[in-house]
Amino acid sequence: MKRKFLVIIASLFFEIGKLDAQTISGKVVDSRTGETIIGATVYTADKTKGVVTNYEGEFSIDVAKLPVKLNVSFTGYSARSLIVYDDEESVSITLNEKRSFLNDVVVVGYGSQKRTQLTGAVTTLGKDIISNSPSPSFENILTGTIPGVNVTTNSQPGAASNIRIRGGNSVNASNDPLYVIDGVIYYKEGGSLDSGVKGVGVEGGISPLSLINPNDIESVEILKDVSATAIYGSRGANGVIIVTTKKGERDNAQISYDYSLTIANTSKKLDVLNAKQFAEFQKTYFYNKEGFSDEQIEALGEGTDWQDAVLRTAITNSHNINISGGDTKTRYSISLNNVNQEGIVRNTGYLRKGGRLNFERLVKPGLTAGVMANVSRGEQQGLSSSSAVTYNGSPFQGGITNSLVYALIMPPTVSVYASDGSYNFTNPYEYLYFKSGSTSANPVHDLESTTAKSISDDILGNMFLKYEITPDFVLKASLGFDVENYTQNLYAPENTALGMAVGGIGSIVKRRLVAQQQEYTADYSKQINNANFINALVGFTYQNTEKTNLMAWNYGFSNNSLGVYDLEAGNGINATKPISSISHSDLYSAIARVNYTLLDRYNATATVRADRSSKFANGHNWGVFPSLGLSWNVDKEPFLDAKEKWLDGLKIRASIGTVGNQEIGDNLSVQTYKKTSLSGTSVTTVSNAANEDLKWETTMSFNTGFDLSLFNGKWTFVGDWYYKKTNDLILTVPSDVALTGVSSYTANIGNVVNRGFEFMVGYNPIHKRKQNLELSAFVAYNHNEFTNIGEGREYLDADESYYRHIKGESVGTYFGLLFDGVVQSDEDVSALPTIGGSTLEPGDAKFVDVDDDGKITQNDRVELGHSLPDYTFGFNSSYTWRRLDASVVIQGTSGGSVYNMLRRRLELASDSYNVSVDLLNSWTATNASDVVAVSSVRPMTAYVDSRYIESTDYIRLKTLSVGYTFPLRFIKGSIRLSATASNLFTITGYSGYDPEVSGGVDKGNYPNSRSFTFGCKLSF
Amino acid sequence: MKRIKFIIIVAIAFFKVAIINASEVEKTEKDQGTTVITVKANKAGKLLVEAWADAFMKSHPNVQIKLVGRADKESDLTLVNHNDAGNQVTYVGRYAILPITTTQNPYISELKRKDWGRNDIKKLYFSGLDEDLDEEEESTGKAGKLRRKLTVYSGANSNSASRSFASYFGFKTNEIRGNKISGDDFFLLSAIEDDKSSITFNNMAYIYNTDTRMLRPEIYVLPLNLKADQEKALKSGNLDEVIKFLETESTDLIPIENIGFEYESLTPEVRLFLDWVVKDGQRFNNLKGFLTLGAVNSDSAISYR
Repeated sequence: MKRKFLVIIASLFFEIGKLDAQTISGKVVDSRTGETIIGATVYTADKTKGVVTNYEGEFSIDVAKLPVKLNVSFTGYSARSLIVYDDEESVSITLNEKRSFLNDVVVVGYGSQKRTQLTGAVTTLGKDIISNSPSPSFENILTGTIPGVNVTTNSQPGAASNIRIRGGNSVNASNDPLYVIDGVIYYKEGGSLDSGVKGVGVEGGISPLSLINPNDIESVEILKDVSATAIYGSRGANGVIIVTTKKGERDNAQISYDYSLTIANTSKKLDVLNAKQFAEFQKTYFYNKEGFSDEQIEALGEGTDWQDAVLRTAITNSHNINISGGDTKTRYSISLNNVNQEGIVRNTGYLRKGGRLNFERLVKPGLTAGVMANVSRGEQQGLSSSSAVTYNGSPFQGGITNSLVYALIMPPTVSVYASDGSYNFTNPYEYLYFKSGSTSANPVHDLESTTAKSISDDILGNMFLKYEITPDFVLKASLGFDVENYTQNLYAPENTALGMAVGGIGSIVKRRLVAQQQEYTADYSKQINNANFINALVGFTYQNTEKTNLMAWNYGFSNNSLGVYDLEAGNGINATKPISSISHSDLYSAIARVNYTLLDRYNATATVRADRSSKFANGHNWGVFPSLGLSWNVDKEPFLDAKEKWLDGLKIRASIGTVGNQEIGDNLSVQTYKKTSLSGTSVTTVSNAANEDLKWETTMSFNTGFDLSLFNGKWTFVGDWYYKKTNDLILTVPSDVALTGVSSYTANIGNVVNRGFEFMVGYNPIHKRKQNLELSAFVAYNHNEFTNIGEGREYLDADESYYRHIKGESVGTYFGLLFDGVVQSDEDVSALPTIGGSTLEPGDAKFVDVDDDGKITQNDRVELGHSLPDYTFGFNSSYTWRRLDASVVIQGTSGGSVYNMLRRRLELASDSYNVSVDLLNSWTATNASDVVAVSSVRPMTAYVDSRYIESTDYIRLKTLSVGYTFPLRFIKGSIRLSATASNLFTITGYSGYDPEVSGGVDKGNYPNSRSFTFGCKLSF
Repeated sequence: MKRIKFIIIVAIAFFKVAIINASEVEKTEKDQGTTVITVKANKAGKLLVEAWADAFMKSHPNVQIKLVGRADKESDLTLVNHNDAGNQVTYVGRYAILPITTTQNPYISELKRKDWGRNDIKKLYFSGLDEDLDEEEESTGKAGKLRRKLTVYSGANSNSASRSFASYFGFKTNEIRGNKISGDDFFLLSAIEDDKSSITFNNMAYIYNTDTRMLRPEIYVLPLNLKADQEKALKSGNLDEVIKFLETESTDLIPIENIGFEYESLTPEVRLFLDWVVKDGQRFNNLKGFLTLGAVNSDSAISYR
């Protein structure tokens, strides 16, 4: 009884006591983003009371009396204190994020993560680099800025560059990385479509990425190792590039208009003979077809510069307008763009018109709906191309590939225009290859009159619904689609090089691609006990792709006025019937990922993805791709206390796992047939032998690395070492024709290994409100080799004779003879190996007789280098001072080679075509050159030799940009004027136009340009 | 014993009810023909609102104006010094913010030796995105040297003058360096009293005694780089002299911000009150340490409705 009485008295005093206690409530938010901070610690200065903010960032703390000093802290933010004097209002506390790149939030597959919690190798492209690049294509922005990413630029406007992340894993499957644009997996082939006329087509084609406007890009993340890419399973083997477009900022409506004018010229011309030199050369070695006397030759001078005639100063105009903004419930961004880019080769260029819409709205509490749509039209007028073709019965092995190359070898004594100003179609040197009757082809006329057009109409879109059942548990459903109509029109009139033999060629090729993607994910996060954080994601995705092709062509047009739009007007002789095709592929996937963080120090990410692809044989079309990543935030350890102010962050990470590659052609596992002609009779033959065991290429990879940030972000270091092994490589292997009906088929044999390291250092010596200087440099090394070509095999021949797949050597290894100088007059020719049964003579090129059998044959070929560079490096810097900004990007590679087929062509002396000035130093009885063989036509081998496998080592000043921003107070806006120089200079020993040769062979690739861009951006 | 228990239990219940009642919000009500308008304001604003209310109620006896606590969730009118996007506001006056310290500040003699210009104010009060920004400026000049010695106090609440002060000099609130307080800006005076080596800034209505019309004896206003007559007015310590020059002349050193009544909906009575404040009520502004709307603002104040 007494006890009850005392309890009641105590309750009474307790209630009275509560009257004196003060309850302070408030919210903790990020000062920059306004986002609430969950799990921040709020405690009294005397540490007697402490609480943690909830999922709304809110807290409530009881204190004995006011005023009271509260301290607030959270990892990655500078601690803050404030004195609370009254509790009439809720307390609002803003924390400033510590300046360390480890505090960045990065976009990863199906979500985002703080860099401190990452276990994978993810690099973010700097915003300055995106915004300062004048290029209309975002591929060029990647050049020289990301360690481990090697971009070989294709200089033709709108064409696709070659992008490799940590080397190439495959031979027959694609080595391109996967692109994810606002959540939509964006993959399709670019390039040329087969026009159906053998060897003739449109060079280059439109890059799928050129349809994305760089001005729309908010951020680019490059996922390099398996921990980051495993969530993409069968498509993550080559790395993933995630592009996020601008969405609009809340309470910050903005309108901007961007205009730029670019003036471009070729950065280099090749040295070929002028008119005087050419006439002398012809008279010395060949037939002097124009019958020049010595006096006439002296008077010829420079003659026609055909390079100048086909090259020009190119102008590009680019317009972009963007409107964005939002409020507490809505965000939007709308943009329109128009780029008209002339190419430096006459009548080439790229035109893009497009628009983008990003819109999302909080429809109801917790329910967000959004839509993204990108509509674009790209039109590229490119170079027409030819490879091994037969004209008028004469074979021409890859010598003249396009009008640019033809112009290079045109005799400089022949003029572009006749005396009456019309095109000159008279060329006394031209053979029947590009001549019909008395009419010879004229490369300038070819460029102006030939249609080689690629047109892409593309709609890329994504709609999503996101529902927050609770702030921890989010469901998301999205539907993405990509519809593309891609057309290539080729029309070469009868008086052009391509059309001459058949009275004109016209062809239309159309491809329609429809890709649909559905994704359903559930994402759950939970902070447990302040020490444990867990995030789990599960999902299901489905993608189907349907492609239809239609090709039609005809020859013999008597009227060119409608060009390709009147194929019926052709005479149909030798033209085959139109061709159509359809292909379909499906990909079903289940994904799961768990992220776990203990004590904010120890992170683990486990991912598994299961894919089922229709591209592989039954029984082999499921693939399971697991990965595990671990990381350790060493700076959070007690022995490296936060008092160590020089250390902002140190993380060590490692990952291991498996990803796959399913980017091969459709129907390779099944037997397919084609119609062909045999002795004039139409027959059906096998085009592809079945392989019921055809399955995924899988790449197992291991990566370890570190991220270090010192002195409040002043110094940053990132290093990675990796090892990747691709198993079950899909290769073309020889087969028994009698059994299969074909000479080769596709099988999983062989392994490829890539191993290397990447190291990047960043320095931010000046970081002030009105002045900022940042510098960064990186070097990356990659070693690539076949470790297995198949049981018992040491090599496998490739489709081209100058390549060979060799065990222990890199993918893309050149294979040819070793040049051994020029036979001199005093040499004993009987001791030299023969070529094609002929004994060499003074002046002939010599080659090393590797097998020492006394003759030069295919067995004397050796490895001559490889196309993939060993080292890539880059340096970039950005500086801002008040309203002035400047940036520079320098990049280069080392250790790679290219087959300079164009130079080989230019060193082939003939009585029809111009040659390189190097032949002026060719061997003669009085000029004992040991470098350039005799210029007369002599027995030679068709195999490529070491003279034409050249190093592509280079260092280039890629961009140099300066800008100044003027405030416009009357509209609360600003205008930025800028000037950018691109490809200002290149230091290289490569003799061709440019050492960046896409595809590994320089057949006369589109030359690189040096350009100057003047820009104006109005924002308000 | 049973009776004592009963009494104690009742007492506990009584206290609980009292606690609950202490936090109840007073709502607008119509009571037998009288309309009640509830108004929320900070400490300085309360004095001005009370003056308006008293005068208005005399001429409009059917309207009652009640001041409610800032913790109350709802009120018909809230006196604010910002116009957040989307809210309706009628401006009713202006206030000026002056940089101050206490007369007990050990560095006051150094503060007195200089007339502080705009860049000096920036150096003294602001940092960039982190504390160590402007390292070079920190070490140069009087402002740079004093920066290290003086702590800045500013208000963290949404209605604090911090926002206006920062914005006037081209910064954001979180770029004011030093310590924050939570509570009415009036308590900034307490903060600098407790920490003598500190400076702050505040509404003129707080730092001058509106009864004596003189600067509070414990407060020292930093000498600013003004024109001679403006400097004289500021140094006089007389509120009316300062108000006179602020209402007739311009300077880029003293932030002047609008105050207004924020509301969600306009009843006829509220509209009547606002109309009165904008016209007849302006005569009370100077009295309570505030500035009047001024000719330009009074037109735009009405148009905001």
